[in-house]
Amino acid sequence: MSIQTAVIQPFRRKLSQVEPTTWASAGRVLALVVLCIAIGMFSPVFFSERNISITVTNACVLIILGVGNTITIITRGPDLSTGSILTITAVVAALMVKAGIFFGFAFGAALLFGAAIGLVNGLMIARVGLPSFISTYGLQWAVFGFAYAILKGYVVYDFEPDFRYIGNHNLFGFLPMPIVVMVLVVLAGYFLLRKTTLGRRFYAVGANTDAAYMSGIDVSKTVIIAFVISGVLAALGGLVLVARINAIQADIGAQYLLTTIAVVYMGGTSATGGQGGVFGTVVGALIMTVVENAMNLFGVPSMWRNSIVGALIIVTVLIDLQLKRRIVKTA
Amino acid sequence: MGNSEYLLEVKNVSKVFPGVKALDNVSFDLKPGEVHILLGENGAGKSTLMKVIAGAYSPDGGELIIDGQPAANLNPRKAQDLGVGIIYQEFNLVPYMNVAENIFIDQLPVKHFFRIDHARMHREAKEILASLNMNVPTTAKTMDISTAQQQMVEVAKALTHKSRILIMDEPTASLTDREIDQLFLTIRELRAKGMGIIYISHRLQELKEIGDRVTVLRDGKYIGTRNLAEVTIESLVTMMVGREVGELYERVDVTPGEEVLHVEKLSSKAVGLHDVSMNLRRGEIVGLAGLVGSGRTELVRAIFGADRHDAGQVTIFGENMKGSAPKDSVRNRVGLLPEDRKRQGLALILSVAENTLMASLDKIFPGGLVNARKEKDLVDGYIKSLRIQTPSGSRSAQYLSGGNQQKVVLAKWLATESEIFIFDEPTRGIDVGAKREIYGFMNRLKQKNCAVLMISSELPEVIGMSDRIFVMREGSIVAEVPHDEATQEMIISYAMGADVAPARRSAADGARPLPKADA
Repeated sequence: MSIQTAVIQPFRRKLSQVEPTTWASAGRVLALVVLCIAIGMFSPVFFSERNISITVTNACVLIILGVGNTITIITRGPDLSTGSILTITAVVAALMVKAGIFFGFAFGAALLFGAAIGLVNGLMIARVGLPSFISTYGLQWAVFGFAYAILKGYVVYDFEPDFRYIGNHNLFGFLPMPIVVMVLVVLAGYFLLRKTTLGRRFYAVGANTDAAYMSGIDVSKTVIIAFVISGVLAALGGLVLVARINAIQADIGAQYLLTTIAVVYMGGTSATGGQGGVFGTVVGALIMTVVENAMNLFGVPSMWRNSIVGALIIVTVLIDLQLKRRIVKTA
Repeated sequence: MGNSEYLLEVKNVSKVFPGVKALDNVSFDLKPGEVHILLGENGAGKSTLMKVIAGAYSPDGGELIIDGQPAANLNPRKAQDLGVGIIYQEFNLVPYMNVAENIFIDQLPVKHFFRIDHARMHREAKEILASLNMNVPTTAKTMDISTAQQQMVEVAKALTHKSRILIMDEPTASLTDREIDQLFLTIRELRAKGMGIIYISHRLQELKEIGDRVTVLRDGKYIGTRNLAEVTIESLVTMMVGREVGELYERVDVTPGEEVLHVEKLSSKAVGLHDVSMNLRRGEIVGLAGLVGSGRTELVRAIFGADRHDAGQVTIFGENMKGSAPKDSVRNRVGLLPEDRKRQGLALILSVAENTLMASLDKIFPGGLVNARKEKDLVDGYIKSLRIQTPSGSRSAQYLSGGNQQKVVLAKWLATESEIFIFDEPTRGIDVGAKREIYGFMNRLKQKNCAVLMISSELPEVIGMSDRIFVMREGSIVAEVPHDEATQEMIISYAMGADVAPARRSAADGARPLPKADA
């Protein structure tokens, strides 16, 4: 028996059974690694412990919001309101703490408020029948406006240490709390999507709403839960962010408006629903953050940065689509 | 143009997809002026071969020779230039554009550099349509014309490309008898003009009427080519399935048990149902016959709770299903296998396993946590017992053939432990072998004391399988016919409203008065 028949052919057969999405995930991780090595070659600071820690910490809020959007995009569509939910809930929590209320209550109130806004989104989408894009986009403006009305352009800053714990404490002296929270959120998101019946329903509703309905799945309830989870995660992201930078103003969430959704698509989650997962989103967010970090290290003029980020988003999604398509065709 | 005896030669072509060898060393040829039928079960490789010829797939081995010239690295455009025209089952027409625009869609005649020459376009479109004996205004939007007419627009489109090879994928699938006659007339004319036609079909009856030669594929392999004048249909079926088919419809005798579904004077203005009353008992298969549009699908959707009704009552296992949604019916052990499997039965991008357990998540994993081990065991069990052909449960459902997809939908309702199964056109688009299997499963359900309600437009199927048949017309049930009295003629006349006989009552089911047909 030759090597051809003994080793290569069975191996090829195995390879041909790998689903296209698996190839695409591998390609994505590879892209991130290559990107990091390339940046590190030109800028040795990149691989310093401090820079890595800062970069990953920067990605945390983006990832936490991204996990929420991964769930809503798999189920029905993007949640454009997460940036504004982050803002309003953080404002509420910050003002409560400033007023001397126990920080735990402030946390609880923020998360509940996030859930409530998510519920409004869910009801408008699932029961009233608005497209998720319209509902969450409209709500985003309404909520941002509300935050501006409360803060009136002021900056609230300098919070008590307990409130700041999840933003600036280092667990065991070296592990930044935002990373701990982010990892827990990602693991919880993975568990929810892959290991629970609720996760199965998210995928089923997103992949084919009609078939899910005809299989007895409560479609509205499933969609509502997805947006409530996204609202809660946006609030959690806001708490981490405000605790970390120790200050808040009304435009704090503006930077996350569309970036959150972009990193989900960059992570290979399908815009048409029913396909994708949180690990892709993590990689997407890291690619985004690493490139932003590199632009800082190389001193890219700020006027060019938006164009570079825009090109990055398009190229990443393009590669993902090509990878999935090519392999379906040739394998 | 070459001087070859053949318009097209396909030599030893292979095509591999992930986990499936779709074509394995297949050969095929086409002469000018013949209709060559491509026959095989679903998944036999007909569509793949067709797409290879049309340049949509590139083969992994073998060669294509068009007009005596090797045609390598084909793509759809190149194939078109070489004279290959293809008419898919799903037409490639723009519904909002008119007939002439669709015919010339990729080569609109222009004048003055950029203006569309509407006069010329319509004139030439009319000429082509006239040559096809088709009488439809070229200004009509394609969405407003009949399926048969749309098909002719596709043929006309192929003619404008000077196609000499025309591939037709199940062209008669959605046509009425009269339209089929017209289509055959057109095909014969094209043949007389020297065109070569590759004709893919499931309908055994029509083969001899239209075909000159036939090539049979099975499991991606070439089985043989015959002159249709010299073979029997039975021998072709044997070639297709690789075994004797015998009687397609097997009947098992079960004494009907208790009534599990009772519909009383159901009416719905929205979907056009009037005073429908019917019932279903354990251990029987009840057929629902009628023309397309007679309200059969609407009735079962109303029973299942997918559509609201405004009057009447549905009782399932003694429970009044007033205001119910599909989730209530599923909880109450009802499963619906919809006609449109790909849109309503399956989530195509999800795996076989995810589809199989879609309706029974709460029942199988009451704690809300998916147990991978249990899932695999269950799904592998269904794959084995229903003989679902898939490399594994994690394969995406879109890669399965129609028959195997239908089995996945059936597995979904077995997993919920349903006891009432509603099949809407269970064997549409499914090949003979899988049909037999589906009938076998229906009989097994009957023997297990489940109740089966089956909508079917195929009269031999509805008569062969059902214990009782309800015939619908214009949203009402117009007759109930017991199996032993049913004939095709009788059901057709009830369905079409030709009042040849008074509505009969079932002898077995006590005398229930039948509602009158609404005029």
